Parts: sequence; structure tokens; C-alpha cells
Amino acid sequence: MTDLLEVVFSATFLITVIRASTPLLFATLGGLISDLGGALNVALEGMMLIAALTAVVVSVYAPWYVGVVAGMGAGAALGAIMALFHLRYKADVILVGFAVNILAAGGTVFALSLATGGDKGTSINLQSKAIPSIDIPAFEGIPVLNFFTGHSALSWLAALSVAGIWYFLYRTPRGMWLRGVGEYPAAPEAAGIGVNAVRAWSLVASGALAGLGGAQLAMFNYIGFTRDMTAGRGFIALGAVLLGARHPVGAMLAALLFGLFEALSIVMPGIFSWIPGELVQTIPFVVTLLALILFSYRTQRAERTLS
Amino acid sequence: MTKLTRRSVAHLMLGTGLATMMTAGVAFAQEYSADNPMTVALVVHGTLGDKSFFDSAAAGLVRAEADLPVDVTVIEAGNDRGRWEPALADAADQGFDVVIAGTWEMNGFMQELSGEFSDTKFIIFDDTPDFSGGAFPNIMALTYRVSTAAYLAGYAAASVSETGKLGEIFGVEGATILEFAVGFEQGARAANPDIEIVRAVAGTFTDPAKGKEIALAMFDQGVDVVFPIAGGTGIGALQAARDEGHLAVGVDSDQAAIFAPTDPEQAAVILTSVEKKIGDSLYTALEMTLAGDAPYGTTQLLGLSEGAVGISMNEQYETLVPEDVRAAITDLEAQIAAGDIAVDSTM
Repeated sequence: MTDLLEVVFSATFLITVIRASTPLLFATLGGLISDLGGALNVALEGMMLIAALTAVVVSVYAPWYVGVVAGMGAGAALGAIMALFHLRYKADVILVGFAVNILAAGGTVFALSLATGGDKGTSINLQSKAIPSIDIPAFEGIPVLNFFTGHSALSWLAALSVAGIWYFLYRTPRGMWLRGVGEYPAAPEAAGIGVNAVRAWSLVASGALAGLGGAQLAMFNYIGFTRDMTAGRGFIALGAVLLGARHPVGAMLAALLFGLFEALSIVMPGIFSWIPGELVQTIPFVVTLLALILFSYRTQRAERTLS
Repeated sequence: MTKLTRRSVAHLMLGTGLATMMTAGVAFAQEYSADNPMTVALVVHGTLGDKSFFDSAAAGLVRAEADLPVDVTVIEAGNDRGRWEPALADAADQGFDVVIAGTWEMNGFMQELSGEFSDTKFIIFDDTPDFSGGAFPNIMALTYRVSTAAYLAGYAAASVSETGKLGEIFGVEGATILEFAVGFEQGARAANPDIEIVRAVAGTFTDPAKGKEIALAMFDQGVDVVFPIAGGTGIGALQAARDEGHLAVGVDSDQAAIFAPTDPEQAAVILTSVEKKIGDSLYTALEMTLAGDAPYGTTQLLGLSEGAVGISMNEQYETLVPEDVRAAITDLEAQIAAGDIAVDSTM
């Protein structure tokens, strides 16, 4: 047990948690924006996957930040496509989202084989670049302060995004439009606000954020692309939106919670070899379930006291 | 179109051949020649280009096509599970003489089809149906005793480890994965009885980020050689070994050779790989089928002595593994092949 505590309170563990949480946090913020706008984005997974491949392939020929921007752009473009089909052609947003996911699963393998010259599993014969980590040598070796060094540049961007999105949603008129459109579209419509335009932009922003998550995954967590490498993170992000009570700060906490349990599931087999691996893997999902039950219980109780 | 006609003519000839040789039975296999090749279909449940399993199978068949009177068609069924059974059924229905597929994921489908297409020969690799009571007389199963090769890799890994701690990363905790693990562990203990071995289960074969995290955590806990048995997840563990300057053991195919042309630093930390020589074993199976002495209706358990598994003795192996250890491994290899060392197995 002391072994576990020692590991958990080490700087390396914290860095692992942040690293595992970052792609998830971007995707969760993406899910949050579109969800608040009233268009549930189930395509986060596919957007991350396509963005990851785009970022990897572009970074072969350009500096790393161009790769990141390309990944973000790919996500945003997919968001725009979703908006086109959902808002202009009136297709169901869930179906459009799943179409993007299916397109991503097969399309990335096809594009990967074109980019690598026949390799359909991994991008190991492409020399893709990595996002640099921000190391602050002065902080190293100093307790507490050493928690702030060694993170990906995008982890800092993710933290800034949380603050930025909070400010946008709760302190700007356009943020209020977005929430209004999701809450009760008839009201902003009566006020002369273009409901469809707001939703379209929310999907584009959602895609761009998911794209950043994909870029972080394929240019920092692992450097390179492999088939289906998002491994369900886009779907976990959808759950994290709800777990985070549809609030940017809540989204961050939810993403960190998943990151924490992912990191725990990684260090635990080394310390408690008698715990079956499958059991450790179920922890994040059990925690989500418990948190959702707790959350809905609290909401119900709040509603009861109101009425 | 011409191909189709040729095939139907071939079938007619086969049909008459079969009728006249009904009693001889075995002899009909010798009907095949360069002008009348045996048609073989490999149904890949996924795509080629995995640099491992399927590429190895396809390479063996390409070699067979060059050397033997066989005509090979590779069918890529894609990553959608729903298309795997139809692809196999189509191949059987198109009248190929031999239909090949692999792993537990195709095993059930093949068992269902084998009754309906009783004239077709089926080969399943890396899994086996239950043949008891004479079931499935037209299926031949090839399974691999990789534990025998993993034993050698474990011996090498434990010999080069400085911390005396090895790590294994599983995609899932299944029989074919554990087959690698039991041999690896037994070999490691043979080299160093006090060796400590940590096991971790990733629960996925497609998450390299997770594989990398697991390997990093293992290195943090004092492990200095990792053995990922986890497909794409394992690729992440190899990258962690490269970044942290530790060693890794590759799996399924010679992974150092795959990385060497584009990422020599990655190749340089892979001390050896435990190889399943799927292609070689399929080549042999087709050869036997042509000769008419292939044991359909049984499971072939192929190990070191059959040359169906082995470890990669490449440039990296010679650099990273000291000469006396290599000599000991060559010795052990001979002893295992001769049956003097009994290697554990989950098969």
C-alpha cells in the first residue's frame, strides 16, 4: 500500500495523469460545445482519428505546429461537413455522426496506405514529428513546483481552453446565444439570432477541439499513427461531458478523473500483481457509473426541493 | 471471363478425375500441374500491410505460387467484423480447392462452412476446431507452440537484464497470448532463477498510447526489458523502450527488421523477436496437400523442431546479446527440438 502511495504522489505519476487526460479533455470540451448548442456530436471518435492521421502525415513535411494546426483543421472541416448534412440537408445528427465514425475507421486505413506506400497498420515508415514538452529546469527536483514541468505544450493549451471556453460561455453575448440555442431555440430565433448558424459554428469548434485531441494523441502520447489508435476515447469523452455536468470546469475534472484511473490501472499491476488486470481496467467505468448515479440523485433531490 | 472458363473446365476435369479415382482417393491430388494449378484463397480478416500476421501468411503463399503448381488469391475482408463470414463463404462458394483463414475469429465460421462445402479443403492457422469423433474431416488446423521460441527469447532477455526485472504486456489475457508468456517466463527463470517478471494487461490491441504508458510505468518500476504481446498497443511499448533507452523483445515477426530502414534507433533496442512463421507453415501445408499426404481432420502442433516458430537472429541480436549467451541459446534450441527440455504450453 505504501508503495502505491509513493507512486501516486510522485511527479512522474502526475505527468502520466496529465498526459493521459489531455486528448480526452480536448475531446470532452469539443463534445461540450456542440452539446450545449443542441447538436450531440457522436463523431468525436472519428474526428480525433482523422485529425491524428492528418497531423502525423503533415508533420512529416512541416514543423510540428503546422501538423497540430492541420489536425485541428481536419477536425473543424469534419464539423463543417456534419453541420452541412445536419442543418442544410436535415439529416439526423446522430446518424451523420456515426457516418463520420465509420468513414474514419476505414478512410484512415486507406489514406494511411496511400501515405506510407502500402502499410495499412502503422505509420512507422513515416518520420513524423512530436509536440515538444515544456520543461522548466528551475522547477526540477523541487517538490510541488516539479508538477509544473515536463507537460506537452498542448496540455497547457488545454488548460487555457478550459478558461477560455468558460469565459466565452458565461461572459460573452455569443456564449449566451450558444447556450440559448441549445436550451430553447425558439427564444434566440425570436430575438433574430440565426439558430442554424450558431449550431454550425458549434460543430466546427467541436471538431477543431477534437482535432487537437487527436493531434496530441498521435504527436505526444504516442508518436505516429496506428489503426484505430483513438481506442474509444471519443466515446469516453461523450460520457465525460455528462459527468462534468455540462460545464467546462466539470469537463476538465471529469477528463482528469478518467486520466487518473487510466494511470492507476497502468501502475497497479506492477505493485499488486494479485489483482486481475481486467478488474483494474473496469475501475474508470465503475467510477463513471457511480458518479452518474450520484449526479442524477442530486439533481432529483434538488428538483424535489424546488417543487 | 477467360479465367472463369478455365476454372470451370478445370472443375470438369477434376470431376471426371474424381469419378475414376474414387477408390484411389489420395492419387487425385497429383492431378495438379502448372497448367492445372490448385486454386488457393487466403481470406484475410483485416487488411494486408499489418507487417506481421497476414503479411507473413501472404508472403508464404506468394512463395508457394512461385514454386508449386498453385494459383493464389488473397481476399482482404476489411476491418468490419460483419464482412468476415460472407467473405469466407464467398471464397468457399467460388470453388477454390483450398480456403485458408486464421485465428479464433474465423474458426467458428470455417467450422460452419466446412460441412456445406465438403469438397473444399480448409486450412485454419493459429487456432483449431475440436476434431474429436472425426468431425471436420476437410479442415486442417495449424497451431504454433510459440512457447518453445519464447523460451529462447526469455532466456536472452533475462541474460541481458541488468536490474533482474522483466515486463510483459498482454493485449488480452487469452490462451494464444499466454502461450508466449509461459515460455518466456520459463526461459527467463532458466537463465536467472531470481528474475522478477511483471505482467500487465492492456485490454486492447489498437491503443499504442496506452502501451507506451504501461511500458513507461514498468521502466519506472525498475524493469529494463519489456516483451509486449499486444499488436498495435505493443508498438507503443517499443517506442517507450526507444525513448527511455531500455530494451524490448518483438513479437510475431522480426520487428527489428521492420523498423530498421526508417527508424534505426527503434530497431536498435529490439534484441530479438519471437516469430510465428505463418507463411512457412502454410507453404509446407500446401506442399503436403499437393503431395496428397496432408493430415486433414487433425491439428498440427508446430514448434521449433518443425521450423514454424523461432527467434530472430539478426544484426540487433548479435549486437545486444553477448556471444556466450547466444551460444547457450543455440544449445537450448537443439535441446528443445530434441525434446530434452519440456517447455510449458497452454495448448
